Amino acid sequence: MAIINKKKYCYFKENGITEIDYKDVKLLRRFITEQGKIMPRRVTGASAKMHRKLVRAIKRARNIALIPYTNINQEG
Amino acid sequence: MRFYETLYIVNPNLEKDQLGKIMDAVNEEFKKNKGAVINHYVWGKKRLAHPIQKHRYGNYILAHFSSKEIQFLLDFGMYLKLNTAILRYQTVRLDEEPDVVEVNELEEENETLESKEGSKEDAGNKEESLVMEASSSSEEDKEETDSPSGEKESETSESENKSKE
Repeated sequence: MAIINKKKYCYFKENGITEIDYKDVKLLRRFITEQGKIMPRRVTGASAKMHRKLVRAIKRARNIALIPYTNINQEG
Repeated sequence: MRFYETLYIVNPNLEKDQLGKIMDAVNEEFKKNKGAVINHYVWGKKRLAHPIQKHRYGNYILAHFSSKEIQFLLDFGMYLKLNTAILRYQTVRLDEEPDVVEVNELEEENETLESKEGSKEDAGNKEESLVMEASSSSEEDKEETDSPSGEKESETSESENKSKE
């Protein structure tokens, strides 16, 4: 749950996550929009350090077709 | 000595025997170049998030290995690239030594996953989004961040409410 409270917090810090694996699709899907875009830090509340790691993991996952580059004009 | 992880996607139309052959060939490539294999196993057949070479599904195979030479990585990458059965590969450097995974456990996991996959994937997303909706107390910003299925659900629930009214 990226955003629940009004006060934003770093999801990774709360859950004690220090490394993000690009194969963990369930985790990454929380941080991309419906269109497949990476959510901005101002929305997710992730710390700068973890956001950088997150971005790297998402881009790796996209390359190996675990998560989409974009969902526009895609069937089912 | 550095540790690496390679995830490659093999043509989904190949049968298990042929998959084994490809894995053996890759293993030989490791041996040739004196790369030490730590793990090498089938991660499972998955639906690709975007088509690769017009394929919608792919067999994911994961390999952990260690190597001292960068040249090995280049050769290995070129081998995977030239192998027509392999649709895509990605090698990542690991910070720490990977744990050895027992194949038997994986096979059991894969079997259970394969039977549940597809139908469960969508269901899982919906469950998550449901929880999100329940926990979020009517804040407009949050709707943007919901998963696609969540938005659809919220739309349907709204329409239901309207119809009730």
